[in-house]
Amino acid sequence: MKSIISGVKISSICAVVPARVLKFEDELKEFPFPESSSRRLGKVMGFREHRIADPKTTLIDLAAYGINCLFKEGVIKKEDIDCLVFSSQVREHLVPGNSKVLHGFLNLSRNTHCIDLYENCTGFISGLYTACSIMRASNLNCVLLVVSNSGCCYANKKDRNTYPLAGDAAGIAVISRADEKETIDFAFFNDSDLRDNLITPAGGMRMPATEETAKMHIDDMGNYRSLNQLHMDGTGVFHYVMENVPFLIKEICELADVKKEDIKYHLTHQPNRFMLEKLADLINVPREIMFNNIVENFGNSSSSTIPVNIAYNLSDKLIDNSYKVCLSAFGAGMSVAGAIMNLGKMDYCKLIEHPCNGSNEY
Amino acid sequence: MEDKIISILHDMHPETDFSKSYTNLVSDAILDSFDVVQIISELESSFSISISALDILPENFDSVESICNLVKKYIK
Repeated sequence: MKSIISGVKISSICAVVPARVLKFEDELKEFPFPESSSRRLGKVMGFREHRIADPKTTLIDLAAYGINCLFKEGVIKKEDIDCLVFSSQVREHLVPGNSKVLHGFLNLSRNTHCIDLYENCTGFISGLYTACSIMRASNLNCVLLVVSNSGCCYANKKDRNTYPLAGDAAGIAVISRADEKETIDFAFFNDSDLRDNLITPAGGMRMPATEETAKMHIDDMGNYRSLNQLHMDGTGVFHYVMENVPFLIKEICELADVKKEDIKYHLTHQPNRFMLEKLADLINVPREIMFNNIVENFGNSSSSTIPVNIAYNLSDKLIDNSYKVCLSAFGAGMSVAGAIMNLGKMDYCKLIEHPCNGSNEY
Repeated sequence: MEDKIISILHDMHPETDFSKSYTNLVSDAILDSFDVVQIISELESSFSISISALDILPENFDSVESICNLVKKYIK
């Protein structure tokens, strides 16, 4: 699906990471592999340290802290928020949805509309498309897009394939009105026949979590895993990304009538350094304009990696300047999503740390 | 080149005798995707090459011979 939305923009971004830092070097002994092998892998993949919140700090806490920061810094006012779009693969409660819980935590106006999207790694771009569509189809002036993921403290510490890259984070984007000439060009592709490449088999309606599904078993390569935990076919995911992201970027460039060389930055989802280096080489763009440093500093926080990437790498530049950028994301589904826009001249763009002290007050 | 490749593989899996003629290292799960990533990194630094993502296919890592052929493609 391809779509162009005009007259809207991202006017502010706040990314929130937990202050709690876990080091790969300290985790090596947990993996059922020789430490030298894990260390070598870590060097290639960019496993260095990641941010994992304590069990008491949830995705709503991270998001509320970021929005309270925007209030405190005078970026937005509570009464200005017409709509809250919350995109995540994690839920604070089974019922009600994350957006309603966050609305309550922030004591927002009862006129603020709340929408929840269940989304994986493409969640920021899907949420952006939803937020922009709502703006375009209405007279609203301010939609808050929230992506947030937490719960990595419960991830399997013995699974070297998934744990070292796990990370918690939230991202908040303020979507505002813009000149009609401004467009955001979107493209989305889904290949759900490949959904087993990245899947948590148990815990939903198809296979409810039981004592049996919680039992650990050793996979072919020696990783400990239960059916309640994320399974990743690394080869399948790698090939999906390499086959589909270059096509996605070509399609959006055509839609936006933009040459690849006119794109100043490729702001991608952050699975690991190796994959992003190979992807940059494959689409023939300098590695310097496709940042690959988020996993090594913060971990892969699913839909939150794009705002973390933007705020960590470009916060200073995006206040005074504006650049043609291409966002791209890929992941469970399997699916890919992309967007081309002018990003910059922003009111606010920062990465902040949640202190993990039980308070959401900035 | 073959000796170097066997040495790289042996460093990762000392329990396996790679001098034997394995032909299904990946499909028989002797090597997993993360092993392949490490092999690529070692090959790139040892032979000063850069392997394209399009060549990162299981069949190119299924045997010492196929890995040799892959490296030769970039050295030429």
